[in-house]
Formats: sequence, structure tokens, C-alpha cells
Amino acid sequence: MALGLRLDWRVAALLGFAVFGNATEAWCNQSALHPASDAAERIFNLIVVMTAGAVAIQLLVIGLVIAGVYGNWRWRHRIASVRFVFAMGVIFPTVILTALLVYGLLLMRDGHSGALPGHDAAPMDTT
Amino acid sequence: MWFGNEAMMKGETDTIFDFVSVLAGPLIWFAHFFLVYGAQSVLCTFDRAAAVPWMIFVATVLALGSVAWLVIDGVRRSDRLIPRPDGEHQDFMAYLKYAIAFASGISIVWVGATAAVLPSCN
Amino acid sequence: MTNTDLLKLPNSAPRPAGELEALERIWSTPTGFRRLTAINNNIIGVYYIATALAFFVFAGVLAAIMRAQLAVPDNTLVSPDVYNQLMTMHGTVMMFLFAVPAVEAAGVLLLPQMLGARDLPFPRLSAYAFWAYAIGGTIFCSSLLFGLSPAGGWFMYPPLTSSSFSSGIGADFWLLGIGFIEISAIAGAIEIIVGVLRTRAPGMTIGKMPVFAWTMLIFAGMVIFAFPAIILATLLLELERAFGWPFFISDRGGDPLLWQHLFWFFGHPEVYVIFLPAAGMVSMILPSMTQSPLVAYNIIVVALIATGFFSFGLWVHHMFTTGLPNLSLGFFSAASMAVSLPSGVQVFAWIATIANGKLRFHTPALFVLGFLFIFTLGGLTGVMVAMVPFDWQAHDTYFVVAHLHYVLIGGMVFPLFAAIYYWTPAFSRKALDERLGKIAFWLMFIGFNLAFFIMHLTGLWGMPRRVYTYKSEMGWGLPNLVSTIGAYIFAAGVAIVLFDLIRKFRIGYPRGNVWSAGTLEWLPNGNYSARSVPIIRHHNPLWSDPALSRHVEEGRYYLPGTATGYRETIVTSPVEAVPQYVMIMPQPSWAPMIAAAGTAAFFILLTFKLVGLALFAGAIAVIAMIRWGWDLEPKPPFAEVDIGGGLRLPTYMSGPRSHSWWAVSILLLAAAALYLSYVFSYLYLWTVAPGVWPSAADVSYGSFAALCAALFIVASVGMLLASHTLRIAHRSRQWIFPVLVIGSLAALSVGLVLEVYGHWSAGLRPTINSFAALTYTASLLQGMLVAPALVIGVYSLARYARGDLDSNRRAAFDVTHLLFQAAVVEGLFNQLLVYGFPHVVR
Repeated sequence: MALGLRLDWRVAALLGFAVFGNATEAWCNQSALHPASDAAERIFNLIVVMTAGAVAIQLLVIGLVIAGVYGNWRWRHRIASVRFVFAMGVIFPTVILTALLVYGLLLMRDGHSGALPGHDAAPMDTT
Repeated sequence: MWFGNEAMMKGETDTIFDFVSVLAGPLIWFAHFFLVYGAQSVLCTFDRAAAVPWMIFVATVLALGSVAWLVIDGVRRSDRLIPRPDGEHQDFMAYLKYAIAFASGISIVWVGATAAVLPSCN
Repeated sequence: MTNTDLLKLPNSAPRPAGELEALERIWSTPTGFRRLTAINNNIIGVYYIATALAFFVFAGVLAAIMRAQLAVPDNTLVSPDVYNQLMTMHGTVMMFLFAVPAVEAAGVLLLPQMLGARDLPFPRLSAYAFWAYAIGGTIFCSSLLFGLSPAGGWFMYPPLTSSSFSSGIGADFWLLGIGFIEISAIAGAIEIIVGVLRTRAPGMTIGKMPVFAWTMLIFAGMVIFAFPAIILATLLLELERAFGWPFFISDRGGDPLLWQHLFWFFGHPEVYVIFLPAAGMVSMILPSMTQSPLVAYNIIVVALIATGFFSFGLWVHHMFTTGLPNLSLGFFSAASMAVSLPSGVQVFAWIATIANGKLRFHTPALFVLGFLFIFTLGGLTGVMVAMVPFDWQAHDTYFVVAHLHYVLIGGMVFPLFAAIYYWTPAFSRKALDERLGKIAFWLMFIGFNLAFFIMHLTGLWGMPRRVYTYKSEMGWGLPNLVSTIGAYIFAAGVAIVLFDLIRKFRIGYPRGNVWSAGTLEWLPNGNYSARSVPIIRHHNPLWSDPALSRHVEEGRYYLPGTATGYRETIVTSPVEAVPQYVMIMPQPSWAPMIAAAGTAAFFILLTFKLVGLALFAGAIAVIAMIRWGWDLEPKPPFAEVDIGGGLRLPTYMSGPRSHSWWAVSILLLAAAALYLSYVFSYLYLWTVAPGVWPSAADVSYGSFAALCAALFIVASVGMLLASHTLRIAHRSRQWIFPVLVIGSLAALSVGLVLEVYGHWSAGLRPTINSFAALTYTASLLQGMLVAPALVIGVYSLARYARGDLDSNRRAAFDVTHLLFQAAVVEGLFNQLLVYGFPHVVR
């Protein structure tokens, strides 16, 4: 993936393993972080991009709240304006969401082929 | 009386229709959304896939045109308003009308644009 | 208009002796056993919220049991069937018995005070809605004790919930119970719309209305248009289960996906129905906490209205994996993007408000900050699941469970708890404890994130929703244990808040404006709300006029006492809030509670197929409702009263300006939404199974269509004539009016019966296929308008006979007339759809 954000599923699995040491091969079978087809691989890239974006926006919001409470006069004055609300609340998300929507639609157009043989989901007893 | 006038007290002006007319933008959005979704479903059920992009294009142009008119007309009018004696922001209802129409316009573009990318019926 | 006019107060002080005492007497709450008859919003509102919190605790306990079951792999604490019941009841109770009623309750409690009204316009309706909800909800919850609860998940998808796969009465309990509680929600919504648009203080134009009132207005509008879809869905599924009408059975031209469309057409707006009032609370609390006005009020209002509309274009995003064409999914994905815009803009407006003042870290402020953090994350994961390809992977996994709890707990529970801390001093003699509040907040905030953040990962690692256990090889043990620990920490926080509420909350003369807030609910108030009704010139009137509280309490503004000797409030115009008339309001009564108990009993007994007893209970409910209406609209002692400053207002209003006309019109909008949902279902099933629709040659059942239509038109004309006769009121020919009314009611009923007879005699049976079932449903829906028109018609005639209905006081007849003409219009549409449509398409 060209964006340089490509995070191999093995890395994700290792991260998970590091935190939750009881991981075994079995759970990888139906993990979305373990893509086993081209289509799943493309969606996995989408997951990585969106997660990175979500983290960035969440940090931005937290940062702005902190600046709003503890920032100096100049910062707070800048934030407390209709212009700020319009720029951050209307223009910024419109641009981001347009890009994301097009990305998602292109993925949909490329379709989703079935899982590779031998990668069926583990059977679950759901009675 | 410092606020309002006789006609308002008698209910001859200031009725619910003043309120509903503000919602013109989202109502157009609503009509467009249901038209493209409904017509696409019906056309696809009866194997008329070729008509789908045209139908969506025409509906989107019409909806966007009406919404754009609401916004342009609203902004132009509100420039000419005399400030209210009670200091309320210009004419609040006129502002609501074009601002919501603007928001509806963004959504109409997004909904219509999906047809440019995706195949009609599968 | 001059400046001195602006500053002059309508009334002089001191007020005449006995004025305040008379006001207090007429608004006093009944004591002892008769306290149950109370209808005042500050009593009913508190009962309402307390009941909602009780259901919150109940459903929370169910969640705690589920979390205990899931804490370790291969657990056998509860059986699969019990787990399914717990899961279904947890979702159902949280959504239908806690979240929606809690925000509606907040509206009932806060709106009159906030708008400067004495009470909501239909206090007995609020009382009815509350009792119906409390009684019906309690019985619904008790089903769990007998193991009779529904087990099909909170969204009850058929075919799992059809009679072939869920044969017990659990599903019927859900369908009748929830359908009934939705009706109560619609009753509340009507009340709130009329209250917000017509009972604001003079001068509180729509652009100066508090944001919370805006959110409640949009909330109520969404309830009116969204809830009928679920009412229709429950009706159809219950008809299928009880009588075999095949709406969702594909062998006979039905389609289980129809349920998903109807359910989510209601279900997605419902998320915003819950969130919007909570956002409104935040927009009220933040200005107080920062002591500065809300930034970008105008943009926030635009965002709220846009959310209200866009949320109706999202329902298919719960159906991304049902195999619909990609382009259909694309529309809904795009609309889902659109709805996140207005939510985002509000977040930045709140941040701007925080920066605008100096945030004081009281407990409500902490809960609001917690809300900002959690809700933003929930919104971001919402954008993720709105992306169709992502949803293919995340659908029905714990990622969705995490997302929806971030949105609902973050978007609704945290603001509600902020509101509880914030508004308690406005209604209770004591405020809540700040130190305990802060401890509770941190427990809830940390517990929540511990429990639900990890679920995003559990979901991506592949754990599906709704499973009662999982194998240890799957590796989900540790994240689930973390979730369970977090859930219990969260519960501890909730327990502290409830403990403090029980300890401190006492209805009485309220503690007052402890936060130095700027809006009207912080005026000194009693049962009658504020002593006098102020003139509003600013968004935060208490900040712009520091003497306002004193002047209001001294009775220097409008209506400082009771002008007619009854309970009353000022009715104003919808946009500019110009006073139009003084509305006389009802006194406490047993009738709403008895009517509610009767209605609840009717639905519950139907669940158990005890039809005779159910009809008996229904009859009690109808009689109680008639009794409730009977002493409304007493003959006012004066045609006009002076409310202060020489402003004289009429004491009665009929026609399109009156509150009763508005209420019925809004009810008819809900009926129209119900009918449109039906038309959607009709067309949808036709596209699914055109084969079961008859060809033009077969439309033999249409023999009576023309006759029915003619009867409906005759009935309509007859009613118009009756209306005209009442207006000109010939004293000498008083028999004409009743004859016209009875004749029209008879023509309408005969037309409806004939319609059904026409289908039956042509050999059409509702069980044969979806077309036949839909044909009979059309008549059933029309009957749902005809029946109340008949009851209220006869009631109006009784009032006419008593001399309580004339050319002036004619609201009872106008109500009948509106219902009646709606029934006629629906009947004519039915003929077109049921008889005309098959001709057109073949």
C-alpha cells in the first residue's frame, strides 16, 4: 500500500500476542487482522488507514479540549470563534469524508472474492 | 405591545407553515434520497439497469439545482435585512433555511456521486 | 417602541393579598394515597426518570450476569437459552424502557420550567404515558422471572422469531409489550411538540429558544415519523404469529428482510432520538460550567435539524451484509457520512464554548468531558462501520458491540448523569454530593473504557456477537476478562450515584441556582413553575437581567396568579412567541392511571391469548379515557382575562390555532407515517414476489370498491355539513347536527365493513399469500382510525347533549372531524392501492 502505513498482519498479531500472551494459531483463523485473500488484504489496508485517521482525530480533539481549558489567551481566543467551529466542524470533515467515501466506493467496485480454501471460520456453537 | 402585532396575536401570520418552509432543503434531500434508492431497487428488480445512472443523474441535478437556489436566494435576501429591534441575529429563520439547505446539498452530492463509481445493479 | 417600554414591567408590586395563595392552592399536589393522581410535570417527570433509572439498573444487572458468563472461556454459569433471554432483555430494556423514556422524561420534567410555562399542555396525557410505561414495562421485565422472555435478540429478526422457530409466548410478549410502549412514546412526543412550539414565554422567539428545547422538538418529530414503522412491523409479525398472515414467510410471498427494513427505519433514527436530547443537555450544561454563552448557537441548531433528517437515510447500514446491490449500499454509506458532519460540528462548538469561558470542574463538567472523549471515539468507529467494506469484516462481531456502547453510553448515559448532577438542585431540596460525584465519574469513565475499548480488538480478532460462550483455543479469554472487570467497575460508579440520589433527592422547594446558570428553569419555582411568566429578550435571560428572578418571584410579570380560577398557562405563537390565549388546564385525576392500567392489561392479556379478559380491560381503559376527557374544557368564567400590563387574552380557542387541533394534527402525521410504512411494505413485497399478485382478470374481490369509495365520500360530505351546522348553530333545529354526525359515522363504518366483506365473499383469505394478507391489513389500518373516530364522535354527541359543545366551544367535535376525514382519505387510498394497483402493474 502506497501510503506507507502498511502494517503487516503478523505485526498486528504479534502486538496482540505481546499483550495477550494466550493467543494461539486458532484465533488467527477468523481474525480480520489476518487477511487470507486479495479482497481481505485490501480491506485490511482500509482498516489500517482508518484506524490511523481515527487515532489522529481523537488526539486532535483531546488536544483542543486541553488547549481550550488550559491554553493561553491567544489559543483560547482562536478556538472560541464561529470561524473555528466552521473550519473544524464543517470544512475539515467534509474533505476527509469525501476522500474516505471515494476510497470505500472504489473498494466496493473492486468486489470481494471469497476466502481462500482452508480458511473457513471456526465453527461456533451459537444455540 | 412591544413584541409582535395584532395579526400574530390572532394567528393570521406566524403559523406552523413558517416553520415547515424552513425545512425545504432537507425535504428536498429526503425526496432525492428516497427517489434514487426506490427507483434503483425497482428498476433493478425488473432488469432495467441501463436506466439507473440516467435516473440518478437527472434526480441529482434537479435536487442540487433547487437546493443551490435556496442557498443563493437565502444569502442574498439576508444581506438586505434590517436588524431586529430585539437584537436577534438577522432573521434567524431565513438563516436556518439556507444553512440547512447547504448541509443537505453536501449530502445530495455524496449520495448522487455513488452512482458514478458503482455498477447499477450488482 | 421605546426603551422605557422595554424596561417597564407589566405588573406593579406588591401584589394583592391572597393572589399567591390562590395560585398555590390550585396547583397543589394531592397528598397521601391521592398522590397517585398527580399530573403536574415536576411530579410525573421525577417519577418518570426514577422509573427509567430503575429499568437501567435492571438491564444493567442482566449485563453483569452476561459479563460474568463471558469472563472465562467455556463457562457454564448460565445456559444458552437463559443467555439468549438475558441478551434480548438487556438490549430491549435498555433501548425501549430506559433510553427513550429517560430522555422523554427529562423533557417532561425540564421543558415547562425552561420555557416559562406552568406545565406541558396535556398534563393528563403525560400522566397516562408515564403510567402506561411504568406498568407495561414492569410486567414485561417480570417475564424473565418465569423464563418466558423473548430470546430472539433485541431486534427480533424473523424467521428466528416466527412461530415456527420461536413457538413460546416470549416473542409475543416482546411484540405486544414494545408495540404498546411505542404508542406511549408517541403520546409523549405529541405533548412535547405542542409544548415547545406553543407554550414558550412571551418573546422567547424560536431563535432564542434553549438548545435543549430544540433537541426535544426534533426528538419528538423523529418519534412521530420513525416509531410508526416499528409499530407496523410488530403488528405484522404478531398477525403472522397469531393468525398465519404470511408477511415474512418466503414460501407464501413474504420476505424476512421486510422486517429488517421496517425495524431499522425505526431503529436508526432511534439512536439519534436518544442522542439529540443528550446533546441538548450538554449544550445547556457547558455554558453554566464555563459561565459563558454557547458559541455558534445558530450552527448547532442547523446541525440538530440536519441530524434529524439525515438519520432517516441510514437504516440500510445495518443491512450491509444482506446481499443488497452495491449501489444501494453506497447510497446509505454516503448518507452515513453525511450524518457524521452535524455531530462533528457540535463537538467543535462545545470545545469552542469551553475555550470561551473558564471551565469549572464540577461533577457535571466532568461527565460532559467524559462524554466528549467517549462519544468522539464512538463517532469515529461509526464512520468506520459505515464504510461498507469494513463492515463486511466487522459485522456481527464485538467491534460493533464496542461501537454501539461507545455511542450509546458515551452519547446518552454520560450526558444523562451530567444532567442528573446538574439539574437536581433545580427540583430537589438538596444538591448531590460533589465528592461522591467525582468518585462515581472516575469509576464510570475508567470502567467503561476498560470494558469496551478492548472489545474493538476482541471483535477484530473475530469474536462474534451474541454467543453465550467461546472455546479457550480462540484466545479471547483475557480480553473478555478485562471487559468483565471494567463492567463491574462501571457498575460500582453507577451504584454510588444511585446511593447519593436516594440519600439526597427530595421533591420540594428546590435548592436553587447553585451553578449561576442563565436559563429559566433556574428561576425560583414551585408546583406552578415560576410565579409569573417573564418577557424573554435574550438566550440567557438570568444573566442579562440580574433582577429577573426577583421580579418574577414578586409577580411583576405576566399571569402572577390564577386569572380564571383554574390551572392555566399562556399559549404563544410558534415562531415569534406572541401571546395568543390563556389555556385552562386539567386538575389531578385517577382517570389517566386507570386508563393506563387498562391499556397495559389489554396488551398483556392478549399475549396470553385471553381475548375476553383483554377486551374487558380495554373497555375499562376506554371508559377511563372518556371520563378523563369529560371534565376538560370547563366553561370559562370570563371570555377574556387580563394577564398583566393591560394585555387581555381570550380564555378559549378553537380551530387551527388551538392546542387540541395541533395535537390531533400531529397524531395524524404519525398515522400517515404508519400508512406510508404500510405502502412501503406493500410495494416492497410486490417487488420481491410479484407472482402472488393477481392479474387484472382475477381482481374479482374488487366488486365493492366503487361502493365503498362512494360511501366514504358521502360520509365525508356529511361531516363537513355537520361542522357547518355547528358553526351557524340554529337553536331551533338542534337535531340536524346529531343526525348528520350519526349518519356520517354510520356511512364510514358500513363502508369499511363492506370492504372486508367484499374480500371475504370473493374467496380471498389473508393466510394464502402476502398479497391477501396486505389487502386485509389495509382495512385493519383504516379501522385503527375509524374506531377512535367512532368513540370520540359519540363522546362529542354526549357533550352536545349536555350543552358543552357549541359554535365556540367545539374542540371535541373538531378532533372527531380531523380523525374522521383522515379515515376517509385513508379509505380512498386503500381502494386505489388494493384494487387499482394490480390493474396497473399487470
